[in-house]
Amino acid sequence: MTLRLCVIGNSHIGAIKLGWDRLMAEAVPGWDAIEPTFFGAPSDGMRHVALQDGALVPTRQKITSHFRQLSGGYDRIDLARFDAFLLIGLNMSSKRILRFYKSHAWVGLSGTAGKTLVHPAFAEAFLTERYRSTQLFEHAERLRGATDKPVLALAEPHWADWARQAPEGVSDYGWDKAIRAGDGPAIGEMFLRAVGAALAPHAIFVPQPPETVADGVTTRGAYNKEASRLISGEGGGTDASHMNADFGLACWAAIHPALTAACDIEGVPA
Amino acid sequence: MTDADDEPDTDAVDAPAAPVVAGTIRLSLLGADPALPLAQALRRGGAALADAEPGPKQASAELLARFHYGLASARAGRLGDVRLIAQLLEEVAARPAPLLWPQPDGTQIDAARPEVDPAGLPDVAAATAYRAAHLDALAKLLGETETLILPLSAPVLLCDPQSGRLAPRPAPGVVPPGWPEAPGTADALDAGFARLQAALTTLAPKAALRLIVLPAPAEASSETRAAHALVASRAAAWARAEDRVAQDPVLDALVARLATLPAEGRDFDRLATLITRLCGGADLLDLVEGTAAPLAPPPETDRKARQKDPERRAKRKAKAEARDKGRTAKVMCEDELLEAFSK
Repeated sequence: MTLRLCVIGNSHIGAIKLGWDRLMAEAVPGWDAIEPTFFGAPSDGMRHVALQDGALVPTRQKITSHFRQLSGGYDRIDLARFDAFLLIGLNMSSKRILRFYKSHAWVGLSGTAGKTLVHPAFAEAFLTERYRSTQLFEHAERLRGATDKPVLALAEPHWADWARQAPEGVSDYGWDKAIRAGDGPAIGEMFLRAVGAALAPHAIFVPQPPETVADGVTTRGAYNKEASRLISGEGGGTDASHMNADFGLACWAAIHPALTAACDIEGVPA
Repeated sequence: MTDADDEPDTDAVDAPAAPVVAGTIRLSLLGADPALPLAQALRRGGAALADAEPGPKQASAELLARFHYGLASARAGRLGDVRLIAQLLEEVAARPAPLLWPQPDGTQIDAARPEVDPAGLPDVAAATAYRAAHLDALAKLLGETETLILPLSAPVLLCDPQSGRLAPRPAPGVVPPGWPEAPGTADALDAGFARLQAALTTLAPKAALRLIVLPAPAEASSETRAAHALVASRAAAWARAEDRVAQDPVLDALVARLATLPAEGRDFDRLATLITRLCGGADLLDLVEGTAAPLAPPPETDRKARQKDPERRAKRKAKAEARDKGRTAKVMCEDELLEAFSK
């Protein structure tokens, strides 16, 4: 039996697609039981999609064009065609918690100087609420309202660890301060709890694979898209947010157990 | 630069909500009865109500209220008993070790405000640090306070037999120690007022005090009604004896009426305006007759001066640059996406 998996996301599905290509190229046994179809739009483009008659339909031509290009010709997502859904990125990012950390800290963290100290329970409740105002949550909620098929979700990857010492022109979300204060792991754990709680009613949250994470809130440089770009001599070395095929591969390994637990898949190796 | 998040990159996104400066009546309120929207009324009535512990401005009103943000000028809990208020202010000055209630799960609850943060903290050190931050905020608040509003009632208090310190009755789910209750006798209340006076002399020597004695709940027992009557009597006596303390049964009745009105209604706003003016020291008869001096308008917001401010100018520039980067980011995101699917 083949599991028809609908992958929906923003630019971060690029890494998932590259990882999938690697799985296929290396003919990893069993993965042919899964048949992914990708849909998406860059940045926040997926907000221009509406649920109509059991399908997610773009409301802008540009998004329709992206759908066709990514899915191999489909201009809408007919929910009945799929056995499971996988949401990727869609603005669910640890940057949001790092912004909070610039002005607030919860009891137990070290970097509290000059910040409003809050109870960890409030921090978690607040961040859970904030993560419910992301497109990832909104799409999970919409899918859950329209289908009883399993919905899995991955947040956007943490930015690459080199962003800590970011050159001019790279946004500073405070990674270095958080990590130097020793708060990276605790912030990373709070991120997982808040996102998991936010998504819980609608989707199964698949955390970023631990082996790809550095200091709780960044991604190891080897998984950064720039890593492969720099090797090939391309790119300007300023994209810390997008990841490469190795990252995609690690994500598929993390998705696998969640998918097998939620769906009846035969022949996919553990 | 690549940044696919659609949120603006600004430190201010989750910054605490700045205290509202809506008028010239500057008030501080200590004590938050969730059933009585007094803080809301004071803000709606035009007061600049101090907020020493503001919540993040993006939090929902429901979440903020659940954790007692914005219900008073500090997250000190319901208070209501002069002995508890005096004890709190003494702690602001003396900083004793906090009164903690160990819970069966090993966490520690701040006994002084168990309803504010009903989840415990993992250990004594964390609870002590959190209490210290709260007392720091209170000290700053009191130092800046011009008029302090103190709602009074007759809550049930528990007394630590060892130290004699008091605590409010805990919220459901919190396991309290087997402490006895501390009845509010006339002597005990008078002693509480004297301690409060002494603490305020140190912490807020110039602040005017306005006491509001809340009524007993409609379903209250005769014992509770008697306790409220006693509080009203002792509060009035203290107000008569101290120049800077005021208490007026008319204001008490108006505040009690707040709880009976829908907060969205016009009557709530009218009543809120009246209460706020009275809290600010206006004379009741002047307000009734319409001869009270009109409220001075809020401080002029000098927009041009703010625009010239170098710090604000730098922030605007950074925002504009972030917007430009956002446009670049979208292009980069599109490149990333299309590149992955071009093979």
